Amino acid sequence: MLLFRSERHVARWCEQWQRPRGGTLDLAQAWELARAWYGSRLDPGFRPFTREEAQALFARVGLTGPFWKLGD
Amino acid sequence: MSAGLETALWRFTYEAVVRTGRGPSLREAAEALGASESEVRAAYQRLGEGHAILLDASGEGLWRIAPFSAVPTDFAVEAGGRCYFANCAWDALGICAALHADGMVRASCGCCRQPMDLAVRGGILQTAEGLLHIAVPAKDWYQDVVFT
Repeated sequence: MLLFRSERHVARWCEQWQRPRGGTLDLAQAWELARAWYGSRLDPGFRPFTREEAQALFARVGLTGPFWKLGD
Repeated sequence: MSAGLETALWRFTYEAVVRTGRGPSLREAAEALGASESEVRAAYQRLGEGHAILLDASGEGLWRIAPFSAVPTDFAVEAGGRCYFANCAWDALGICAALHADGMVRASCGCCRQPMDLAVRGGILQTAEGLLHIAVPAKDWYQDVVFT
């Protein structure tokens, strides 16, 4: 997951590396997801998220649709 | 026995990376936990099934202790008076989130390499310009983790 200055820079990177355009998050979404995903990681009682919980976190920050659907 | 070792290894590994900024060696982990290096390697391999803690390609060292990288990368994070590294932009922000600390992500545009610093202060990301791109659909993340 790379950081880019703008959509134009994403397009250039995809062209250079011959990769289809994937999914994007603005920085506010990325920070919200980082807090939700990793905020409890160092807690003594941390347990990994289930797939359903992880999918719900994505939805909470607006990441929905086939691209963001986690595998089984 | 193995579940107990995995739990202890998980805690030791996170404590070590937060304290030192790097992943512990197999020998350091084995000595700390009173286990053999082969037992530690096998425990890391079992933990790796969850993708949070991953060994490098050689199987002799750590690569990822999510959100921390066990090796230097292009995503440096200054937080809590120490420099950490992350394997991607999301993980870089995740280090500030995991530490609940102010921090500065020192990264650059994946296209043109122009520096892009992301500041976190008081639990708020201060930078608004820029975006993250994920090349690989979520269902395939761990099949092509480098380009993800």
